[in-house]
Amino acid sequence: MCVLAGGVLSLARPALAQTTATSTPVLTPAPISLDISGTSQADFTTQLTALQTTYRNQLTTYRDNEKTFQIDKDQYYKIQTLASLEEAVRATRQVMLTRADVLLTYLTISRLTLQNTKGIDTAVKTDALQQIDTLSSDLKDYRKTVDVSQDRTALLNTAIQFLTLNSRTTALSRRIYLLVGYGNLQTVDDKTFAIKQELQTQVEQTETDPLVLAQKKRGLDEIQRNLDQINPPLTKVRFALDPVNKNNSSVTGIDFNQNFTAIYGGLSRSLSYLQEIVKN
Amino acid sequence: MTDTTEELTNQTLFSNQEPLLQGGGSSSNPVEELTPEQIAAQKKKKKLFTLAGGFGIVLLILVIVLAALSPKRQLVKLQASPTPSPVTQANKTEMQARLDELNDDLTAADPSKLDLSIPPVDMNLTLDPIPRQN
Repeated sequence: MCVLAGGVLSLARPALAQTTATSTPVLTPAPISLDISGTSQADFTTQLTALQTTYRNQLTTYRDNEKTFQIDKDQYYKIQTLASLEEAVRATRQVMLTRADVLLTYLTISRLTLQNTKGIDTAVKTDALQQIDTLSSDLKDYRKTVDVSQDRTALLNTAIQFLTLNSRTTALSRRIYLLVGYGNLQTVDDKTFAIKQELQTQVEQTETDPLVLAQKKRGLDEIQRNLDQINPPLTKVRFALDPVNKNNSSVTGIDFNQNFTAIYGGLSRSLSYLQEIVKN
Repeated sequence: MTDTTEELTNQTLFSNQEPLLQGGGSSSNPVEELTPEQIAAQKKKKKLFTLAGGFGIVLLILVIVLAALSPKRQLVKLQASPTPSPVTQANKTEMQARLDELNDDLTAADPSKLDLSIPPVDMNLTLDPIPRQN
């Protein structure tokens, strides 16, 4: 497991690294530190924007390399010459490297986003961040292996090595999506409850008209009812995302999207009611 | 006294005397003796009285209306809700700002807009097919 510490995430733009065997430049992420604790919202936005730009550039390069790879591969299987094999091997190596770059930047974006997402239990977040770090480290190792692979056998071995990385990346990507989605909704739920409580106190203290007071109290009760209805799906998702419960049979068939939709709908309704009460 | 009473109560006597009263009365009517100037003056007077009366009525209506309105104004003043204190207004503005912020958070929390999907790359890139493992 790779431990990355110290400083603030400093990936701003892709660095052009020279490969050892050929002179083909490969886009690789600049040296990064994933310790982003203590970053402000402005820092987070700046870093995220820079990373997204890098990601888009790398994806464009990857797509170009993928096209070249397909053409060279087809060419080799068609004409079966040593020269075409050399071209195909070079193109395969190149596209594998740029794919690793894209995935590494994607993981960095995911890490930054997860780190800055509130509403997630610290232990759960730490566990997910460690998984990202481990996968990033393994992807870097894989990239190094690809970088030194010069023949088809070596590249085949890297392709086999990537099989496990593929399944791990897919699973972790899904987990990050669920954690960030849950964290965002939980944060809004917490804020909605806090504002509702504050508004309730304010209304009770300042509202002089008994009819209006009664009307506003009914509205606030309705908001509370809404928030109470959001609680079960939120609890269900939280339980399912806790790594402690990953082998629990009750969490295997959970429909996260359905629960997210229910929570989001309830929160949206509560906010709408709050705005109505404040305006009146 | 008796004759007078009989004249007032006896309808037959009254009926008989009626043509006589009509005939005799016409020559002694003082109105017929009025000159055209006097008639014109009387008409003027009537007009003046009518105008004055009309004006008086309008004035009366005005007074009534004003009298009716003035207590209402006082009533409105009494019933008006107290002007919200600056503190309440400030609270409302602050609350509105917080709700706006919450609205932004909610928009950002829309799970359908969460862009963390796995990159659209080919995860099975290989030049040679990977041998099946037993």
